[in-house]
Amino acid sequence: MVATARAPESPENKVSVPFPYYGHVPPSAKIQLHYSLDGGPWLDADLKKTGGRFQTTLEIDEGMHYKYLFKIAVPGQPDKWEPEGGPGTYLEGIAEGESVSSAASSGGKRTSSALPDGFRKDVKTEVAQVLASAKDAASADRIGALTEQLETLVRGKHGVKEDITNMVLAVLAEIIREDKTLPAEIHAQFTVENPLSDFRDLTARLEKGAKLYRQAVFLRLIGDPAAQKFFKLNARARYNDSDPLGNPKWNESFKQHCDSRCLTAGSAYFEKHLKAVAEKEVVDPALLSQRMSDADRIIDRLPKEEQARVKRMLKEIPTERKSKVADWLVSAGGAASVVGLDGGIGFATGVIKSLAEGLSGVSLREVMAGVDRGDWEPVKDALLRNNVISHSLKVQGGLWQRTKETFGRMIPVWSGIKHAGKSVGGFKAEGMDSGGSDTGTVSPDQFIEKACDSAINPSK
Amino acid sequence: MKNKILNNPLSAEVLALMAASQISYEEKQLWYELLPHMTDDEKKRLIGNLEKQINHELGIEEEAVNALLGSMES
Repeated sequence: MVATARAPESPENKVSVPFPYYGHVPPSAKIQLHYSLDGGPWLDADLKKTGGRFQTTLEIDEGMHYKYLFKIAVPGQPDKWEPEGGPGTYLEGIAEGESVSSAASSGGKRTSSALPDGFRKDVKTEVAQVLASAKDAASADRIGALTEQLETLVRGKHGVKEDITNMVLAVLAEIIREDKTLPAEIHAQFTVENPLSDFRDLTARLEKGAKLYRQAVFLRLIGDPAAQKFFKLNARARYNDSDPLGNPKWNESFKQHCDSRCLTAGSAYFEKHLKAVAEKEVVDPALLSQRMSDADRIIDRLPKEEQARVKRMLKEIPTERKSKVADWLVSAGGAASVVGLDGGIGFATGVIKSLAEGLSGVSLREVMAGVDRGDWEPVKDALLRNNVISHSLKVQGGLWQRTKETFGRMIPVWSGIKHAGKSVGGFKAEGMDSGGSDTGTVSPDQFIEKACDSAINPSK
Repeated sequence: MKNKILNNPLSAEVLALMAASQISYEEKQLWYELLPHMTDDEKKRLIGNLEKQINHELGIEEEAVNALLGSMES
């Protein structure tokens, strides 16, 4: 039955609000569906039975508050209300375009126990295979992937909307929690006090835990005492905001420890392995000598009043200059060392990921999406924020792409950019090839201007 | 940018190459002072020198990346 409690003001303001019931009911069962709009009285809805499932869709005004309530009547059995013990509100929300918010998604009035058993069986069957493959999961990353897999699976299978997905995920949490054969790391997600309240909170906690876990693995490898303590804690504490004694600050403290320690330890690790190359002189001494000799001759042609000043400038030029590669190894290498423990993540992606999630607070999703699209701005921003690069002119996507061709992986290179002898500093003149988000829109004049500006104001 | 140096393509190229290279800030300032007094041949010689310098830098980076990847894969 189409709701008639309130006539829509105009057709375009009407939105569809499906009755989200995916459970199976016995053929003999009857379902009574009730709904209420804007706090009005309960009305009967017209249900259609399709493929053993009862469905209906209310078409109501956008912005209208709705509630669903239903009762399953099976001959010979007591009527079953949803929610149990009804009448109460099974689901409620505000009609918003094609998506609706619900009490479930806001951690509100319903619990997964209100979902039909048939629905639970459906889900359990569908996720069984995924769970089986996760039994040997050894890292939080894989758990994170599993979470996404499950969510994608459920979304794809049922074509459900946001509110329903939340409910499904809540049930998944319950199912997983009950499966004692799963590894502790997976259970860790579902052993919080209120596991069904909001799966997304758990996911967020997991992501936070995943970073800690990854960092801790690295620190444990290098014998960090705090990491040893980390692994002595039970899994539950790892993914919560408190330690087993309920100290909410412990994890935060450990997180800070990881952030700094991983960087310094990572730096030490890579300096140990790469010291020789990292300490190479960036300025070729023969080339520098030639330039200084030439400069000395040119200075002699300057007006007398300027010669002394410029001679002093010549003498102030440092004869040694360590490569910025060393800086890069310290920052990117330290980060990559952590991520590098996850075999499934490529080097460059790992660096970017680590920078995004561990160092700069940039949204990982945003950065990774940028990489996928070839949009380097978020990547560049992440690098800038972490001082991996010091100047936005020093990043060029095209060069990164070239490193992929050369090394099989994309490597963030931010300096020494040269393109056909004319394109430098991450900018290129119009008409030149190669990619890069900050290329292509710069005219030759702008290019030269920016290059000049960069040359004389390197810290800008 | 209203800068007479930029009206000379060779000078502009020197500046562009300096922007790309990792030579010291002090040296960049020096060449910025000297550019208006340099002949075209001197600028071309400097351009050649800077191109070699940039290749030198790229070589270090390439070597570093290879070493880094090697250490991670070992």
